Amino acid sequence: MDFSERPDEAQFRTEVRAWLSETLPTLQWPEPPELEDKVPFWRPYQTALFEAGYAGLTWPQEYGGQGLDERMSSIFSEESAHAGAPERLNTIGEDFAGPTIAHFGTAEQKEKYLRRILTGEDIWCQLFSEPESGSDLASLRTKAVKVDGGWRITGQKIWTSRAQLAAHAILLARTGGGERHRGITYFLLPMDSEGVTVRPLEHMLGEAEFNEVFLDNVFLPDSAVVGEVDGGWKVTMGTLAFERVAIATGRVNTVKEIRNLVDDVRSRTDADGNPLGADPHVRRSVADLWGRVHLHQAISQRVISGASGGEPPGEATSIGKLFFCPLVEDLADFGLSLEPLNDQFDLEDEVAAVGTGGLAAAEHEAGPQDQGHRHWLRLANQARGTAIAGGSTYIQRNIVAERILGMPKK
Amino acid sequence: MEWKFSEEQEAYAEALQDWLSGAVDSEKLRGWFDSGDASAFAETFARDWAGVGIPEEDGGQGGGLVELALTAEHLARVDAPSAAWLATTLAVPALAGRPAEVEEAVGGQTVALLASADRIPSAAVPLQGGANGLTGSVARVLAGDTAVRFVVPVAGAHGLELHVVDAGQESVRVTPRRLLDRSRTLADVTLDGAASQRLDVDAVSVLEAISRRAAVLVAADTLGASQTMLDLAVDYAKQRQQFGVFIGSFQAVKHAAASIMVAVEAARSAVYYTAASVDSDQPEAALHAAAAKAQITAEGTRSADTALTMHGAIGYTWEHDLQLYYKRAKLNEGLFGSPGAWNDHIADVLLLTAGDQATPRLLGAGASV
Repeated sequence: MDFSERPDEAQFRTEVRAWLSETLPTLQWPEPPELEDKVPFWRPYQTALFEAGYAGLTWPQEYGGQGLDERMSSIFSEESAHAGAPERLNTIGEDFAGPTIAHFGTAEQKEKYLRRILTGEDIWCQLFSEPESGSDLASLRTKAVKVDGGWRITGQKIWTSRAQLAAHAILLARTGGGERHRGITYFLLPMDSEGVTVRPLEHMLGEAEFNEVFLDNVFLPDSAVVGEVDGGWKVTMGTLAFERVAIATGRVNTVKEIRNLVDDVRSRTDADGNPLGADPHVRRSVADLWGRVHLHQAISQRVISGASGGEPPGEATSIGKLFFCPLVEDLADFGLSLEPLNDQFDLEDEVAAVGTGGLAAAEHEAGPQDQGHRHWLRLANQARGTAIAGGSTYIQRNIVAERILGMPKK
Repeated sequence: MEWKFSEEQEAYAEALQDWLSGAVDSEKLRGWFDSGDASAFAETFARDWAGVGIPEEDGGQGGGLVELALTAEHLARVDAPSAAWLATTLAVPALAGRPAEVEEAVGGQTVALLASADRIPSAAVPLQGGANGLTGSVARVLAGDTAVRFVVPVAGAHGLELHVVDAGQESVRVTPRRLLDRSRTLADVTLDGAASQRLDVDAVSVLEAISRRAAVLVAADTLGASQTMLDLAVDYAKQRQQFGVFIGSFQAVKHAAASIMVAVEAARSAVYYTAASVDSDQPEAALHAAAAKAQITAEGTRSADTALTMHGAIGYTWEHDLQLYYKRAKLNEGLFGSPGAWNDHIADVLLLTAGDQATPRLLGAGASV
């Protein structure tokens, strides 16, 4: 147990902090709030990251990455969060697809795809879930039929985040060699292929973040297969393993959020003009959330230390998401509750109240550091999505009980 | 930050666990608890292990709060009687510069802080000093029944002082109290003109240090007790059959077990992170300690209830060992301050504004947001 930073870590932190303070003001702020408008804002930043040597921090150097460990990467994330860096739009590419291709892909696939992920040229999406295959991924039905020189793919995918922005996808389809997980193959799909249709789905706040994707007799060459034909499940498990550290430590910097919340409480009064920080319920709620963030911070550091030491994911990794998701929900809900009923207005109504051409425009005006009501509202809803994505809370509990505690499947 | 035990710490935990598995079992525990006398265990434990976590220059074997937390966790995992060890470990920092007394303490002569165990040690109510010795009563003193010395907070003419009082004096009256949890003991203590020696330490900062230690070590105790409750509940769910299947195959039971595991691993992460934070005097160490105590001990009692429900009626019996850990976790929630009390201190520091009257004394000047 050691709180001190290694000399290389301290130096890296200093360099990153200086680079962020130099680079962030050069971006075309404000950051657009809606996903589809974010790309032109984000792409120059990703390119700048690549050119400065801050893209793909944990990727091997031979593929354009930096070959650093998770501790260094977490220092970069911390500094980015504190400096208010733009949202990462290509998490699928950087965290899952890229490392999977680097580990399981052919030389040609690595050459073709990896560098463009880091430069910001290509955003990726993940075509795994289907209408009838959510938690039970191995029941997927999208079919790949062998044809001369490749495969013809037909089926439907759903809940595909960022498909409307993506240049490429990682795709699972049934090639039929065996039952369930024994008959699945892992493909790389250009999203502009003939027969691919993307239809955006609005999430519960009315914004199009995820999509339905229809595949109608789409041709993929043999060179699009990752790993063995019918051996896609093994590659999928690799992808999920790359995902685990990111999920366990969480994509939201809870330390930053609790600081925002404390600042919020300190600066506000209730309807009668009394300081909110004097309200006993508010005081204990803030303290309780602060305490939970402390525990989350400890879990994250344990996961990062384990991953940096090359250890296989352990108990802390498996519980990370179960601890993290309700914490973010409660942080955001409490932030919203500071102004009663504020969480209850329809977004359209909010637009009218803001009166300057819509919520998005209002957020433009508020600037990138806006930590007010809209911030908590988005976070509160996003957190619900996170609790479902990548294995819902109930599935996570089954996994903990069966794989870690060894409880019987049947 | 690196969250990782050193090789020495791993080896220490393993050796301690081995020793405890030989020294403690259900039958021995029940014998000690029924007779109300755990001194046989306390003495042998002190002889072999009590020096760990106490600096070598003070007569200990070295190591810090991480080692002490490992000790607390493993004692609780087997429900070992630990009042004497915990009380002495908390009080020893007050005896800085008095090697003979530290040596005796490490050798098994229990020292206890004369403060009510229902509150945060730094909020202890000091006795009034005077020319005729110390006079006053303090209820619910941890290990008050076996202590040979007390460290006593005293309101002196120029502020808070700490004194040491020999418990063998006629002017010291001790009334043992019986707890539901038999693994710890409390006593009401009355001094009636007791002779004392003033300790040459900064009383406020020593009590703050004791509070941080108490927070981490009680949280570590709950970690150990919760781990054992999880083990017991999972083992039971794997062998108990109803409706023709193991009850561990039901999702409701799996989810209950998973929720305890989340609590246990969150606690493990935070206990050792916090111990290292306190030991290395991080700027937010006092807040970390308060948060660990409030969160972990509150969650520990929820885990106890979940483990009880997983056991069904057998867990509700005297005969089954679950009740021992259940009671241990319940006591820990209130021991040295409730989660509400610790959260109030966190709020004092976080939400202090210029107009506030509150002074976050416990958390010290070094605490920052």
